[in-house]
Amino acid sequence: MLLQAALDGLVFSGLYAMLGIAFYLTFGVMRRIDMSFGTVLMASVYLAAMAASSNGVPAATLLLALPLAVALGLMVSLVAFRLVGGDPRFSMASTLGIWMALEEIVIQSPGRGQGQPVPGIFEDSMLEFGSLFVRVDHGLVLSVALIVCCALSLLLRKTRLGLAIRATVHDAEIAALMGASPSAVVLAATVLAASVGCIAGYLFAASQQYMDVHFGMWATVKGLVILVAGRMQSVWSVVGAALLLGIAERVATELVGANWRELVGLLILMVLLGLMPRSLAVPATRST
Amino acid sequence: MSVLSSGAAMVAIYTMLALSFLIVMRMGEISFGQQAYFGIGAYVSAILTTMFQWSFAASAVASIFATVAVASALGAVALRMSGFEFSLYSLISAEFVREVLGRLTWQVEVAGRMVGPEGTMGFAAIASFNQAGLTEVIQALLVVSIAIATVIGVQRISASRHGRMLATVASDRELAQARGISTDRLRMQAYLLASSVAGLGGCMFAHYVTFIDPANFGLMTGVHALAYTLIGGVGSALGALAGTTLDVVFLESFRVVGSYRMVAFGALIVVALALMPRGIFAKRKPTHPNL
Repeated sequence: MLLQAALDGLVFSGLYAMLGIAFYLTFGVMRRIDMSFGTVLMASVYLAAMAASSNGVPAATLLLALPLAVALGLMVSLVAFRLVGGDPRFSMASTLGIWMALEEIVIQSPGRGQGQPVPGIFEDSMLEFGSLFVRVDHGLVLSVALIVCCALSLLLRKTRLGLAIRATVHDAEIAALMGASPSAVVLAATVLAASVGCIAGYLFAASQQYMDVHFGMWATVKGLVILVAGRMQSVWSVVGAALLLGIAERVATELVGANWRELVGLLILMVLLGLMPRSLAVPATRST
Repeated sequence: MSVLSSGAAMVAIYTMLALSFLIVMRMGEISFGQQAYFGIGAYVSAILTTMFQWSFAASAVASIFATVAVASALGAVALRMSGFEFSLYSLISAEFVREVLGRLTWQVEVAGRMVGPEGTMGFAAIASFNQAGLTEVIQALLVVSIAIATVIGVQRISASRHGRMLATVASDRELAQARGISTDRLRMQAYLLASSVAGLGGCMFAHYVTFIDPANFGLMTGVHALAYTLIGGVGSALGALAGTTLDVVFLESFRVVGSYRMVAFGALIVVALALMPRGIFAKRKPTHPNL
């Protein structure tokens, strides 16, 4: 029973891992928190699904969502991080305004804020291991998450851009002096984060077969908790934290019943945060 | 007259919540969770007056006690964090409180009818003000006076020695500690003050609008109040009032904007932060020589 619950939690682990990586990139490079990130992903997938299905090509959802997510991500980067100067917390507060505006736009769209259907991928297929089973689309989310982590890890370690990003995460001022163009690094981080997040949002929505308007803030909170829990050590610590949280949530739900799911989930997050303070107090506070 | 009095009352009520966020900001942190205390104040006082016939004043005191109790527990964990983690924790713990409030189902019979909170369906008939025979105008005046008194009180505290010490803690915690200021205690005191202001506001809210449900105390409400403070200015309690007035009066009467109100408000937040991060009532540089 519990083992099955743990397996069911893998789809969440995959989602959280990709969200965590996205936040790792943007926070690491810009030292700023984007509270509208989840909503950007939600809006991209939601609007893309709506446009794709009304034009008769629901399978093209991801193709439409990706550029939209990147565009919105760049907009947030420009408006909240460039335009709003001063204390990074003002930037964070301004992303709340963006969150409100985006959510309202989705609610005002022809979808009227109702769950937007998203075509499933292998939704009826299961892999069976004795008495346990894994849904193929859940496995897909996790596999893609792991592939993304590997790819990103390779990028960070083997390419010049990756070196520039890592250097900027460590100390933005020195990195800039050493020749890593801050604007290029910021652009790369933003585009990567938005793309990874969009893929995550799309795959998750496909596994649920709809995108809910409230996915936005929910995903943002989860991603941020993973960021904190991963302690900014590396991409893999983020993945580890995501795996643990995804599984822990489902197992806890199994133990206390679906009725208490939200309550238990929030309690887990509170305990997780409470147990590890000061993990974001990275000494390099000089940001781009 | 009715629109004016209800507008003024709502401004007064939400100013209390905005003040709560302001006090936390004076401490050097940004909370995303003061709406939880707003909710606790609302529910506790509503339960006491509606189900057990307490007076409004007594229930207000009790709700402050309740909020302080919860704030001590949550604050004990939250105040060990700072910066963004504090903000995230405050958000999550506020959602937790809201979930708990949403599960509260407790009804008693009063004068032949069942009254009390009914979980997510809310808590109706919080009629204490009406039962006391207070007219709409008197109710609004009561609520407005409490808010004005609180604004003045908060201003006074900010200008006092305590307030200035808190400002030092906010700008440089290590320096404050080096100067012998007990930062943990000050931060907790500020946090408890912030929560009790929110709790009192919640008490006013419940009795003025007579119907509450958990959705009134969600993240959106909190972010709105935070925005009022940011737009109005972190430097002054009057700023919280200004920001609240701006939203309640202008945006509500902005029929042109209509259903895109949140888009307009969201854009306003961004513009306000981009143009004047210190808000409308920006505090000038401190002139106290011995700060």
